[in-house]
Amino acid sequence: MDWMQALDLTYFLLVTLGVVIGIIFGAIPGMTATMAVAVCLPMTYALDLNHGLALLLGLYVGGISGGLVPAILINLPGTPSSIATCFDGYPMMQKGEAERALKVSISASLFGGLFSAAVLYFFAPTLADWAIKFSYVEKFLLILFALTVIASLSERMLVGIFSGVLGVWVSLMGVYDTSRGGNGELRLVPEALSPWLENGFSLLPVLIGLFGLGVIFSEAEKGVREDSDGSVTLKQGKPFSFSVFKGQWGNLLRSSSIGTFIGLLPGVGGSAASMMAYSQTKNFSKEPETFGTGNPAGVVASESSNNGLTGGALIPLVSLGIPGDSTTAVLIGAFTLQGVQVGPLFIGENPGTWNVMMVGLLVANLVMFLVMFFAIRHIAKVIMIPKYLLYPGIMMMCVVGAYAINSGIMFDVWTLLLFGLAGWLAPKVGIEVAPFIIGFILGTSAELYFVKSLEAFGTLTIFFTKSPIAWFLWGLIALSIGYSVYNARQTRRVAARVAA
Amino acid sequence: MDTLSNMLKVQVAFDQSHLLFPSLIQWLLLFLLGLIAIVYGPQQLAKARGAKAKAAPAARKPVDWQRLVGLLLLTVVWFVAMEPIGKLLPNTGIGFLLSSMPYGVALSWLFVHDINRRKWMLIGVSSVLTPLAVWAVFAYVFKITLP
Repeated sequence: MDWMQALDLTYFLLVTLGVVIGIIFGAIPGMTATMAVAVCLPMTYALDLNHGLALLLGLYVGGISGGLVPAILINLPGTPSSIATCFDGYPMMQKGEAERALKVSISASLFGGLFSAAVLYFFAPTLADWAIKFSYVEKFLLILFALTVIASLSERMLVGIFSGVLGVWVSLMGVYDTSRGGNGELRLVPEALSPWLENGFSLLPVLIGLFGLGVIFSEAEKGVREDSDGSVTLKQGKPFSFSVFKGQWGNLLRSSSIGTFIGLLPGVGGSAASMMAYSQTKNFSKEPETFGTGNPAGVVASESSNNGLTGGALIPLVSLGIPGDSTTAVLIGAFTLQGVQVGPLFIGENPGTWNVMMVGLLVANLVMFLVMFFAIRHIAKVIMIPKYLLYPGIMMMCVVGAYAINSGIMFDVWTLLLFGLAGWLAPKVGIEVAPFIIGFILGTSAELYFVKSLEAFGTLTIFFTKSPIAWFLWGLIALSIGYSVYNARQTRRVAARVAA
Repeated sequence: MDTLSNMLKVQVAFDQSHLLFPSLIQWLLLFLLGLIAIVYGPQQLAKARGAKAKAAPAARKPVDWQRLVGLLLLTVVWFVAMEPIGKLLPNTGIGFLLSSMPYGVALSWLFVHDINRRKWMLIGVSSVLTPLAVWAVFAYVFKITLP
């Protein structure tokens, strides 16, 4: 029980600080939980792993939860994962039930978060034990599966795959690391840039650039409009009561399960979870026509699923080393900073850290509930913070994060700007950022496993013949590609019917 | 069968091993680009022609070029200024602190709408306090290197 010594006062204060900052980030439209974690990552440089995780898990949970505030009050999701909360949350606000809508959402968020934390605790070690048996071949196929899953849920599968492979290509720039069995030779880097790109692009400036600066460039493009006219009031309408959850247990369990499962799929974010849970709840409802007019069940579905994502996304991270969403992709940076490798051996080799993480996730959800439930009138004012004051501060945090990562190199700051521009430009040329970043993170591992497999077996057929696990993984890859093709056809059929 | 299985055999020469995977990825990228052009190209062309015919430009969201380009230029100037200013007092973070204050003023002024005296005061206070807070917390509390 040595790990319990890590649960000191500082630990709980950091969780609370993370939750509060995360809620603020999440509550401001345009800023996301991923941005919160990326921008605040520099704060963990001087902390040990356990304290750093306390802060980051608090940011994650707070950031995801904060999005419900503007979704309900001004019909603008604070984070993409609260899109479906707008559908019934805002109509509830219009009927004078703003506080009721907020408290229903917060309670549902707590349920979803705790549900997925429980699934994480019991399922991740089992998955890790299974993954330990993987050879280089299966590990390579797992990465291939992760890329096809993200791609198959993209709007256009081929573009999603292209984005993921592009991320892999960018990750290969630099020297072929001898610590990974490489020959130490430089590749994909022009001679003029070799002094700076010898070790390729650093992960954290890329992440902070894409998810931090990229957002600010997008906002600048739109004119940095304020989303609120400065008047937010929570009228005293129908009061909140926990009796609203009577008859909602099926909804809570189903939506939390959907969120947890979606979180498990690499690279898939909260917006998919929120929308899927909402549409399923509407399908199962006896009064589907009431959805979109202020039905609390819609809000329950959306918020329990998007918080269910938090635990779900941590499952592939800690058991396979593959991030479940963009925020957990940034969390990999935190582990890397501390010299800890996430993957199948993580839980077994770091049982103390694992337990501390679980406590952190549990406490973050409870703190989120207490802070939001009892201070919601104050939190609602967050959406009034002017962007022209907020964004310069965020830029400064991003620069600190990029500069400090390699103990002070301006090239990393320029990398931040480069990938900030890339993050802004990417959607315009059709590149999808989520698959790109997953490809970037997993690219060097994919190379290691691929080359080691060939060195060991000497033939490409080994990727198809190695073991039943390999066949199973190929089956999953085929399934995700098949699903994407089927989905694309259905979408085209529906669009044609609507046009007709 | 033997010919096929021989074709799939691969021997990795160590001195060229750094090029194996990148070459594969580059070919895959080119292949995917070609496939994207074939699968989505006709659709996109038809959409573009249809949009032109309906005089769609009015429906496109306007880009605030002033704020966008202004953000980029101000940020570049800020980055360029940081290290030379920092050399005045090395390893103290003064480069970051002194360059961030005017950057904060300029960026807030660029982003603000309908500026008035009250907003100027808020900008002034925020542009001094925010870099000071970041500098104090990171350079002194967390002991992180700043320019």
